[in-house]
Amino acid sequence: MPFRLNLANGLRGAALALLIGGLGVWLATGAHLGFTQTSVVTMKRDEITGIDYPERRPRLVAGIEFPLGTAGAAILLALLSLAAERRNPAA
Amino acid sequence: MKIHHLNRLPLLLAALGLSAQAAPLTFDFKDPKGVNNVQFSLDAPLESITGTGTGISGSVTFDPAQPAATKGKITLDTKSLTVGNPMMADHLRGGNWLDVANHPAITFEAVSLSNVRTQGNVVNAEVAGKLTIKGVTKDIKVPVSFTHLPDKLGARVNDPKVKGDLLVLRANFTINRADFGIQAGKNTDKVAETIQLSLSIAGAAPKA
Repeated sequence: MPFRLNLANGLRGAALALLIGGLGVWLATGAHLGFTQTSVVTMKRDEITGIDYPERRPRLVAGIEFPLGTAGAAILLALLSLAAERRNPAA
Repeated sequence: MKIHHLNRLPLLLAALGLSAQAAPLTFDFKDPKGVNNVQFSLDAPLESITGTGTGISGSVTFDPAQPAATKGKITLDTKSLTVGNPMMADHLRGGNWLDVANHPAITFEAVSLSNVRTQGNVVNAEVAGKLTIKGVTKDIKVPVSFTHLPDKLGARVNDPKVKGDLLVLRANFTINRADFGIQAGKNTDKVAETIQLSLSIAGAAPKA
């Protein structure tokens, strides 16, 4: 059966892309099990005083809500694709 | 007679030098290098919430020969407190938590020192003082280490012509957020009541 570009297939493709994209971003930024961070801290030491101090730099670390959120959105799109297919089974 | 007085001059100068060295020094904790910091940590179900604050100012009067007489006040600009998650940072600074718009500073005023132990240039002591957070002042005791670094100011500012001493303060202690009216008894399932604080700051006392 040849693949036909219609609404249902488009929604399924978007759902798959979201699922893979969300998981990919989460894995690529360190698979952080906590919440998303938009900055990270690196500890440095001041040579004269010996004080350890945090240096905060902007960096996205996707949290666990990232793959969960995109998976939720993907499920929603998959359900919409089913609804679209039922409404227009010939498509 | 004149010669006799001249003979005493070195002794007099030495005595003056000693008294000048023993005089209390006032250290300014405004830090142009941005090294002074407080780190805080609260336990939470998913992960510990950790953050930093760098807006530190204040002054401490410290006498290396008489550390028990140390007095001072350190202020933290609450707007400088932050965490890695922007939504959490907004909550932290918002009205329900620290309410930084109405309470722009956290202060600690040292009142007295006890259990003072000196080892070289390091003094460890229990500092009793008044901690004010969100407008609530509580008497607390904090273990503090004071490290006196004589003549190190020039090295710190990369200018050997600048003379002066440094004083490094380190303290690790725990407070209860409910004591300061921060969501007292609320959200204990989301964020712990106790907050671990770690303070590392250096002050400078320039010499003329």
